[in-house]
Amino acid sequence: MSNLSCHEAKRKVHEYLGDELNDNAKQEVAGHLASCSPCKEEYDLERTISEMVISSSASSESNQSFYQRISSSLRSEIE
Amino acid sequence: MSDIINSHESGAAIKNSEEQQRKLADFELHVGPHYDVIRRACIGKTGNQAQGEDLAQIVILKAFRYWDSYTDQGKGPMNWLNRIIATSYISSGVAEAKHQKNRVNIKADADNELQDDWIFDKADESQLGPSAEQVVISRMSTDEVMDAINQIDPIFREVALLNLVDGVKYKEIAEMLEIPEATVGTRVLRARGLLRSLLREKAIEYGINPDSKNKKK
Repeated sequence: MSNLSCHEAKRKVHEYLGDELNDNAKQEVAGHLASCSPCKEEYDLERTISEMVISSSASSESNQSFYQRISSSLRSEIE
Repeated sequence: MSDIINSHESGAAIKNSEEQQRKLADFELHVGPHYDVIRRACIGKTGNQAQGEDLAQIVILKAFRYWDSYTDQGKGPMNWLNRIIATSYISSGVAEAKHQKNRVNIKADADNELQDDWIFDKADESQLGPSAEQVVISRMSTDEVMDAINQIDPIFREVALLNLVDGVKYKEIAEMLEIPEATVGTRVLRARGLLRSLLREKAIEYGINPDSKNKKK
């Protein structure tokens, strides 16, 4: 197991997921996750949450209405 | 004679219209994929959905008007757009109004840093294990997920979405919003912590408790 405590690993999981860590820190987190099943479970959950947020945001109604608003304002700009 | 002038004028108008159409097509091709990032950056900057979307519209229209002056230096238009966001934000008056709140915001970020620990401690204290949250997620509809996401304060939510959905790195978000990189990390953490609190509330509402942390320890 890496020297990382569970508390530190949990705090770094988001940065690990977002590829924000340097190589050493990445290895530390990966090492901890490989040998600590509660933290691995937390990591899996965070990954699921990321996937859920990404897929829900893609079909968000507020995004669609914003696109329409921009599209019509750009079109009236060139008329 | 007047027919010739009219014909010239209408020819020029058609040519101008075609040029404008071409300009719009080119603009949408290059800037269109960044609309979400512009919108989120503006909401993140103003801390308010409606003001942020208004600012994003101003930014995009301004970018379109000046599109002829943009030169691609191989990195895409985001740096150029960031400068437009920054100047539009200042001239919008939102920056001025928000200036009064800056001290409070800085304090809030410092407080949030402390509260991040609180969120994790709270999660540790929770009787629900991560798999309860997994079950909740599998049961939630897209609308319910969006509803939960929208309950998060825009100041945290949009920073997290910029990172998570648009793949913008902390460093770039920090430059975009003119805040320290550490604050970006804090806001992402805060948004995710709040979302997980909402999932835990949802789990209780659904009566889901397939495993407890106490059981595992």
